[in-house]
Amino acid sequence: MPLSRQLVLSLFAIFLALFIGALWINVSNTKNFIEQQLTSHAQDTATSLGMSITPYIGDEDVSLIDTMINAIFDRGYYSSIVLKDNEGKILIEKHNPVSLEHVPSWFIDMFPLTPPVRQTEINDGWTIAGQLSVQSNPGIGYGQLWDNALDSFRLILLVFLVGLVLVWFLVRMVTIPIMAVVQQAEAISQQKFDKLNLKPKTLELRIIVDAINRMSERLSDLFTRLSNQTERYRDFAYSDGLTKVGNRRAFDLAFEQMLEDPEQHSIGFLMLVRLSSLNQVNRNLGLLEGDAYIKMVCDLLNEHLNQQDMHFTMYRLNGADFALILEDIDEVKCLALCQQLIDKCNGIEKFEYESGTAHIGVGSFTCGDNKKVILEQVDSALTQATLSQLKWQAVDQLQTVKSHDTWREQIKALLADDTAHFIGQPIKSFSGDEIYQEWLARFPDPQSEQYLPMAELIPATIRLDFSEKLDELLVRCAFKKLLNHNGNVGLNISRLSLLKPSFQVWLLTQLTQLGAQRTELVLEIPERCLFADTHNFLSFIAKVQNLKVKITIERFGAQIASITHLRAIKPDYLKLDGRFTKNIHTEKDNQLFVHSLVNIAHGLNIKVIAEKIETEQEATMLQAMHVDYIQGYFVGRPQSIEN
Amino acid sequence: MRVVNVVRTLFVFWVVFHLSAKATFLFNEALFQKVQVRFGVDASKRVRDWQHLIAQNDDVSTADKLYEVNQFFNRLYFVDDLTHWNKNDYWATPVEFLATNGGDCEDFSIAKYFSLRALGVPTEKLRLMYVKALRYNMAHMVLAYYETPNAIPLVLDNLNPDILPANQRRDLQPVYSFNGDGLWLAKEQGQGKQVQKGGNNGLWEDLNKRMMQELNTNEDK
Repeated sequence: MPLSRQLVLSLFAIFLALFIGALWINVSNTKNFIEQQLTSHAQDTATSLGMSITPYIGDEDVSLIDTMINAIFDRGYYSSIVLKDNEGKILIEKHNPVSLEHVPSWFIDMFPLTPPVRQTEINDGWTIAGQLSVQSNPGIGYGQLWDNALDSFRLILLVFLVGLVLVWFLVRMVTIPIMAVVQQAEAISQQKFDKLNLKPKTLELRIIVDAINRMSERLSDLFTRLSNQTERYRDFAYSDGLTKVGNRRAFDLAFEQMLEDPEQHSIGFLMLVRLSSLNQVNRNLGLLEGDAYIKMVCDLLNEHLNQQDMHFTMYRLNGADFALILEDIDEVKCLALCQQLIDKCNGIEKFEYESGTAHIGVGSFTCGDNKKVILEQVDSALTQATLSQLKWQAVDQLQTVKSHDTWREQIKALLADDTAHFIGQPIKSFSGDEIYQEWLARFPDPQSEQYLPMAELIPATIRLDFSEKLDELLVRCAFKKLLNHNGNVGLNISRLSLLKPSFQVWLLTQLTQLGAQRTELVLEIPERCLFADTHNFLSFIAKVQNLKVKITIERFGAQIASITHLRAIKPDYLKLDGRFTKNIHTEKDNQLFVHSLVNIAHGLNIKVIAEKIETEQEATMLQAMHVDYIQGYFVGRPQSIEN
Repeated sequence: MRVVNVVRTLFVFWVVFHLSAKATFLFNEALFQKVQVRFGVDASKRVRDWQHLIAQNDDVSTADKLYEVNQFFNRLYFVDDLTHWNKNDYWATPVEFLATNGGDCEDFSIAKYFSLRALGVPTEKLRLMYVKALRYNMAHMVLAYYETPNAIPLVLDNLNPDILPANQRRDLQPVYSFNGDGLWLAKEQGQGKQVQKGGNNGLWEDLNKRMMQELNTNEDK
């Protein structure tokens, strides 16, 4: 039973007891008093009436005495007056019925009034001549008693009701702060460390509120410190001290990831920027000047590229070399960008930059390419650039896969066909329970028995602006197949579509129409989605979660600020980017980072999935770090879901 | 010390009442001491004498009882309340009456009434009679004894020390009579004193309580 009800009931019971007790005592005492009054009334009447009768008691004729008794009796306050002689014979008697007009009979039964008979002796001279008995009429007594009882009842009831109202206020005063504290405790368990603004007047409650606010503060500090520590580990491993961009290691991991992962649909350009005059500046002007030179160019590149409508990541490979990975951009724009960047660099060229500010080499890559080959190509392009007037050079033979038109026809045919196949890869716990199957879309090539290469199809749809339509096709087909499927299913939707408001609205409608099957669906969202148009995206995700669809944040770990975004989204799963878990049993720095990331995720009640697990050693190490689920060839190979 | 004494005395009273069929006064040394301290040796002696009177006349004839009681109290002085007690209409207990060696007509009648009751005379045969003393032209009270309900009563009076039948007391005009117990208790109530309710021992308890009260509360004066 809730405290408020306990309090109310106890106080009500006490009040009720007091009420009944007070009323009973009041009425009883009044009854006793009235009885005494009736007694003395009768006695006084007997005495005085007796005295009046005394001179006439000797007479034979009792008519005078009769009149005198009548005079008293007819006033109506007597029950009986009886005159007997000294032998006990009744000479005169008068009786009145007891009249109780407005008093209810149950009341009379509960509080019986019995006025006694009072007597006096009438003496004739010295001899005792007779006895006069008088009894008061209790009627008037009852009337008084009843009126008194009613008045007391009303008064005590009023006090009682006022008391109840006060109790109600008291209970509210107590329970409201308590409920607020309870809500705050729940918020804390959800990692929301707000402070209560309550200032309850009651000392004990104020103490509770203060204590919980302090606890909230400390937990908040703890969480922040933990996040900071995780980020420090990452920075330590992966960022360049001076410029704060990714270091060589980060570049290697990122670039290898892109080249080796067919599902990430990576296609883009690798740009190498060399600070040609750095050695000279360091030698002639000192290291400080050199550092300033480096930072200036870095800032310039950042500023310009941030203004472009595409995605880039910057890394510092060594003293003078920066590597830029550019995505979501076509050749024409990329080459134009090179010119723009060189122009900017020329614009800040200083006298001491004897060899020029910077030179740029650029080359394209697609997943599946060989990293060494690409690097060599771009490097030789860079060398050529240092010898050319332009100061920049692209690798020959930029993309020569299918032309735009061919792809356009192909994609339109696909969309008209309105079919998609899926292959599924299981994600399991260490004890073998499957939590869901990640479905990867495949589209059949009409000209061959094979599937179209996704690594080429996807970039083409991006370039030709079909990505939203393709994703719609994918979602529709997946939902149809979902109806016949048992078990949970994870779907990937491209970042570009997810960030488009029109697609968001469409997807929410589709999800609503899906019905109860929604609960079997897991939406895999790349981490990069969290960095564009955050506010709108977060509210979109919240709506998806409201429909009971689960969320996995995948490719997690690369971006710096994403840990705080986790608190806002609260995904069900976190899938670590494969680059952090590759050969983790030998990578000490990765171990630190992954372990602390797992701690944070668990603190937010988020489960952690590691992907691309290919060996038992990797699996064992990950299990030791309390990763929850794994995916990869070691766990299960992707298989077609078509029966 | 005081409180303990009161409690002890009252307890003894209580015990005695419930042992004896005929309730009476209990006197002990403590009582006599108190009286002596407060009122003097003579007073104390008088109270002891009264004790003897009751003890010795327990089984004599009724006529003798009447005689002894009447004669015993008639020795005391007849003084009005205002002069004696500085109060109007003060009904003293027999002990006070004896100790102070005087009282008014009510005190005489009351004292004789209680004594006769203590000696076993039934209450139905005794009446406190309000009369007019014709010779002195004043209000007066006497004790009347009725052998039978219809009889002419015998009058015990302090104005005339002889016990005479009422028809021979032409100097007294009878007005009204009361039962002694009822009158005492009603008077107590009228004076604002707490009265024991109900029971045949109500009177004695009340009287004894009053007597102890008087003796104890005035002790420190």
